[in-house]
Amino acid sequence: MTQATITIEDIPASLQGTVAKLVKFVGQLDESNVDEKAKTIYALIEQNPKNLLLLFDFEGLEYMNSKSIGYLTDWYGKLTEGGGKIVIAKAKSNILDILQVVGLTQLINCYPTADEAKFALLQPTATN
Amino acid sequence: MDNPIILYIISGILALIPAAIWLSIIFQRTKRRGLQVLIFVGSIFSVVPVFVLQYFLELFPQFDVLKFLESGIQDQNINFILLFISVGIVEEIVKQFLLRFVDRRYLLIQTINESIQFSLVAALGFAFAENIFYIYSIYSQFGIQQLFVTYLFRSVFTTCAHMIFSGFFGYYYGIAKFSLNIVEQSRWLGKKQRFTRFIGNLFSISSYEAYKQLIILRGLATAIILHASFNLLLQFNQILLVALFVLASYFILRHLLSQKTGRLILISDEDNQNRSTMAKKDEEVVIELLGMWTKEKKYVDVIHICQRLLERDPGNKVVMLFKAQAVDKLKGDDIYSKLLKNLFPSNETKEEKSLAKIAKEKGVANKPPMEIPKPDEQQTTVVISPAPTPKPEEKVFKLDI
Repeated sequence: MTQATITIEDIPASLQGTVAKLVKFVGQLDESNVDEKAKTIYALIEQNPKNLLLLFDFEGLEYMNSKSIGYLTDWYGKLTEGGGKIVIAKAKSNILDILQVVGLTQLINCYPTADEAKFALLQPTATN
Repeated sequence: MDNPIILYIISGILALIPAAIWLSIIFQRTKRRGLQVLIFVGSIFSVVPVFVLQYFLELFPQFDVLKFLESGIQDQNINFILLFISVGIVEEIVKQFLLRFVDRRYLLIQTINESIQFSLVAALGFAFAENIFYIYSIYSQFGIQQLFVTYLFRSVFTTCAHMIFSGFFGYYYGIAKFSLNIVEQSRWLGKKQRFTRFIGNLFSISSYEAYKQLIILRGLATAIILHASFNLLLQFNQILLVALFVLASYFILRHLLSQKTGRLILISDEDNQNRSTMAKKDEEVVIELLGMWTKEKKYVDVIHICQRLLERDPGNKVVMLFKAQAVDKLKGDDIYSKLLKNLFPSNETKEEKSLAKIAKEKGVANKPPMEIPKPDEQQTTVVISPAPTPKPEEKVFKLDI
């Protein structure tokens, strides 16, 4: 099994009624581990069905397979339905390239630094 | 009118009338008409091997396999079936021979639809020659009264049937010809192709070659079965069923011809090879996703992704196939598709909410793509600004269907 780790940290959220989390991805998400790792995010969404704000830190993520992109799309759908938001920070160019061709960068904003991503994440939007 | 030469000339003129009408109908939907006329003319001579074979078997009946089989079978109906299958085999092979020969030499066929169209024309050439002999023979034996009905029937139904049978073969031949791309796409769709691999191993050939030969055989079998069924129905004087049979086959073939996939030029263009601006590994991830979402019937997203990917890799035939198939699935509301859907209802469900739809709902469908560095700049974290709010005049992503 290829190595991949997902760690979740709290982000102090100034917006009332929201929960913000920093989710760090490290390693390679491929067929051997993606289903297992995806459960972590689904559990997080299940615990916070409304107004969940996620900052995905992709700095340590080297590879995403097609299934993980499918999961990312699904998480996006679930979160936005519940008034939440996803932003991505520090993704490598190969991953950004894939996300752009898939069309996910139209929906999920990507930022070069964690601070910018955090700032954008905690900005109030029409939905929260 | 006893002079056989004059009678043959008159038969030729009579046979030419429906052939010209059918040819003009085919020409309405095709290009490269000069080549089609050449194939038509060449195919007229494809009746020669049939006559040579008949003559040979008359001279040497000991080689007549059909007669040998029939001698051991008492049931007349089974004998008819055997006869019609053997007629189907011979005629369908000779009808295709010239076309396949020319295509192998000069790469005549560039799309699946062209394969169908050239097959139609080749069959028309064969039917034209066959009609000459039928007209001659019926007039000589039964006179002008019998000729009229047979002439009309052969001109409309038999000629059309010949073209349709070959059209089906042409469809499969087209698929076989472009098997490299089609097998590649099947792989991304997660199809195991176990039987193809088994045949490949059995004959020590590649999966592509095994797939190609199997598809050609399938096409030939389809054409032969249709041909034999047509002849059998005629033998039992089931004219209404014959008409329905030809009509139904026509609709199916018409539907195949209307497919976007069939219009794709799948001939490899060396200039467009290896021109991708995306790293191979990354592109494979996206193509794998195309396979996944095609299976999940997310056709709108598949089309959008294909369009973006084709901007990066314009010569990728597999991506073109994914896009064309997704378009075909989405536009399956033409009259032929509706008819086929009514005849053969499927359990396909409506597709899920697509990314494109979400983007539209969010009002970001026109958002311009972010600046992504080229593959040679990879493996470094890059600075990317969030995309600005789109202006109305900015690029609109239109579905090119």
